[in-house]
Amino acid sequence: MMSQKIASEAQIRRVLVNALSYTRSRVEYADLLYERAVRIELQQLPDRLIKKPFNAKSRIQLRLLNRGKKAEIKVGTLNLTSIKHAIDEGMKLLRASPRPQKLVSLAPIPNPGKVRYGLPAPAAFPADEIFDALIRSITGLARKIERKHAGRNIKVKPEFWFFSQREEKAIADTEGVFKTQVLPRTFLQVITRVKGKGDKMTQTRARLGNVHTYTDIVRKTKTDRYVMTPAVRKFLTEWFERTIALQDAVSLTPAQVRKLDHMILHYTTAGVFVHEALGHNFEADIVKAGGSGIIDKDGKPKGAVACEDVNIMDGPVSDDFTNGFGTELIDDEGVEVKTKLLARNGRMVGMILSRETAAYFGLKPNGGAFSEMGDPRIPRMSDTYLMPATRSNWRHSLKELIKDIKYGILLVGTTGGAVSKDGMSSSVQLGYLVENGKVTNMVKPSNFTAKTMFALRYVDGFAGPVEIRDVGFCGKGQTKFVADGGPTWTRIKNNEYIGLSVQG
Amino acid sequence: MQLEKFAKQTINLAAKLKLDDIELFLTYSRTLSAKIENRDINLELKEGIFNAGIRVIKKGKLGYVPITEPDLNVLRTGIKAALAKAGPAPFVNFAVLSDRKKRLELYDDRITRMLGSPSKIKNLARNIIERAFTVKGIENFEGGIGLNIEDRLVTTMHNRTPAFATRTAFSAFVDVNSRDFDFVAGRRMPDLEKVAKLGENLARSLPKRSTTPESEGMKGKKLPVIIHPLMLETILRNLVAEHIYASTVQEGMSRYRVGQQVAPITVTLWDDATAPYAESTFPTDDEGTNTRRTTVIENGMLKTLLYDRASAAKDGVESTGNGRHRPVLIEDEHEAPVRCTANDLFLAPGKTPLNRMIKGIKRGILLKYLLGFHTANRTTGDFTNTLYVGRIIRDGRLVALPEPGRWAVKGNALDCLKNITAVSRETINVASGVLPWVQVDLTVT
Repeated sequence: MMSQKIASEAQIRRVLVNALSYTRSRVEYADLLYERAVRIELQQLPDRLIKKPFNAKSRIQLRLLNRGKKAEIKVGTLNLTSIKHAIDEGMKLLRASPRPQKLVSLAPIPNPGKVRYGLPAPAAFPADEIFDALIRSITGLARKIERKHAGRNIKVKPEFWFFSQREEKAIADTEGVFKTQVLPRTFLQVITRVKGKGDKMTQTRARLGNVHTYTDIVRKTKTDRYVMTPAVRKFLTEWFERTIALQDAVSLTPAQVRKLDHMILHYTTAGVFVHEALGHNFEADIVKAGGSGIIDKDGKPKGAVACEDVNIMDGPVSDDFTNGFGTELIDDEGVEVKTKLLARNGRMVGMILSRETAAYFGLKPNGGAFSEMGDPRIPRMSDTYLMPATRSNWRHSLKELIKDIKYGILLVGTTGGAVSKDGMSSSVQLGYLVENGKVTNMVKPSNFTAKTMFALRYVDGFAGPVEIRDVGFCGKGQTKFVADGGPTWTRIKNNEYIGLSVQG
Repeated sequence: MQLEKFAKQTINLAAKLKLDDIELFLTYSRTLSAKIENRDINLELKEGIFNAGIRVIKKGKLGYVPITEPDLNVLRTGIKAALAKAGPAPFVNFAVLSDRKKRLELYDDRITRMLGSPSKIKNLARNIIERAFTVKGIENFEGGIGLNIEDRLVTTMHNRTPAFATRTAFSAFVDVNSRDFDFVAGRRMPDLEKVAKLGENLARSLPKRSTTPESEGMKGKKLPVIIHPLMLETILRNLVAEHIYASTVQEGMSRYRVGQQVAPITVTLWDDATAPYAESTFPTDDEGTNTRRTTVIENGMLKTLLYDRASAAKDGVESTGNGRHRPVLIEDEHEAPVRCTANDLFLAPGKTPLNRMIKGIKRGILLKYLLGFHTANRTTGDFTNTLYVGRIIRDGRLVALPEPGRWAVKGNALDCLKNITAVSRETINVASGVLPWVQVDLTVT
């Protein structure tokens, strides 16, 4: 597959190279990252529809290294004068910076000669046609569902957000590296709010996203009409129905939660759990700062993070770099992104590394450093998932996985989570009780709490293929596109290190 | 960069493109920060950061153009694309700015001077570190200091003078062992001696032991909880305010009506973007309506909703100055749509001293922060989250930290407000408001 050029590549390269030559007599090393995204965007808010057929963002990150000290500067606009001014300001930062405990150095960029990376991305979008198809389909689906439930006086209010963008970046350094990447990325989120009997309100959130063009969501027919794809219609219809069903969902008391023998996590719930509870703890900057709950400051594991049957990975499933909302081909330092095995058989074997943290720990960089539009580059997750280490407890179906469960719960979906050093929290959109091997009542939204080091030591079964279609925006001072997941279902024996708190 | 010059050029472009009206929300900023990681300090700079959130009206249609490059050619492309796909405008014209007599306090020259001197910010960071490490038991220490200067301009096509101000901001925070944090923030330079002691004071205040809900006999119980002002502001802004926005009420999705008793008579809440050195302080909101102080809840009764111009036009009233670019997820402020948004929030202090509130609790929690509160349900106001930072109260004393990942708290934000049993005499400035501690009952799970 031929990778595309970024727009105005020669001009951008000229500015970056000239700026870098300005640093040569001043510092030992410098690099520049240029990022630009042009997107079309549609937002249906509760009270208004916003169409943004043109949204352009670009920024530059400059890094200077001298005598073991570094300075990082975000620059607003790409022109030589601005960057030269930033270099002068950066020199002041370097002079003022104290000497770090361990001098800063950067691991070399592997494969420095390769220039272009990417996937096919459109330079222009048929925004009008895409917007019309989305508005027509989503509101049409909502009215259809209301008619289906006409006897219940249900109101379905979908609030949605769609964007499709072309991303471009260029990385250049004083050692002559020049690399570019072009990627498409598309996202759809539908928040469904249902008002039912007695004004009772329920809400869910459904998301789709990938490094694909808008054609995953809206396609052109043979008659030149744009329509929502059947898969997306089915997906949204399921979430509309679930939001209506939540009107009759039951709650569980803490005593009932204690009685649960198993919790069975859908990949949309397990994914955010793995991301929050474990993923962040593998990010090498957090490890270096002593903030990881599972790896000590020297990069040594504190103990098992899961049972022997669990591997933790970061990267697209089966090394398929054309899939995954968090996928990139090179990171923002120009390092080719590798699929990272973070834990094997429940034990830590790797970290997510930037060039700086790789040098700090004496390791090779693995393409884990990312920046949000000109911010400093730091280790970030991309597509993080739980992978069964063996086939021994991997069942073919959910039915098989739950047949011996007396009193358990299936947990589905999330609206996000968060992590502290030793604990995590993730929201669960809905649940289903499992009683004597059968799925019974729908359960209200809940919160899943876990003590990081111990929660996954009690995994005792899986079902279905590994999927990373849970789509998110990870915040760590900067926002990054991510995906997460695992087998369709992951079964955890209830234990003292996990907690479930059900609303209501 | 001169925002006023760019604004003039843009308005000239709007005239050439025969637009009926244009609204500009422009910012240009510089930020110097020191990141503290144990004993290391990293200096970072954000230089020349320009953002423009532009709305245009032509023939009754409204288009949006967000850009980050001060380039009229890019803007021209954006305007043309926006107008080609524009939807109906909720009003005929953008606001015409009216004069404001009172000068707002939002700039401190001491911050500007410090911004030009990286060594001063480094020395302050070093001071914080050295003092913090005088306390034993620090395993990991994180923090940061940030200084910012921002030019901000709001104008529309038919104004003679834009709303323009240069604002400064200072912030500092510390985190000890990932178990508690403290901070100062505002638009005025704080007492730097107090800033230097942030980490030390926090480290000294940390109880030595942690505990679980099971060992405290609290699991599954509804217990008195004292909510810290920072958490209270988050609850009010993320969940309660949603039900006070006129747009939510107009959609029939609010649980509130004007005139309804939504809190005890001890509760008075106001929204303000004119308070000295507060986060939202600026002469206008983001669509040119003069900012003001709006009493939202008085003695527990909902007095008014918060309006932007679109929702005000629907109800045939004036905007309350709450039209703001409110970003979510990956959005920056300038690219987010303008919608009803709370400015800084102020809750009137009560009469009970905080230590008396604590002393009156046999078993309960002082709740400073819940993990992942952004996942709470803004439609219903329900939340259930892991307790991240707090103290366990036993027999009127703060006795322990919550064991990480073992405590969760659930409740409903609107019920919390309605059932406040005490409001503290003390308040703190959380940057986007000044609030007291309040006591409610919540379930520990």
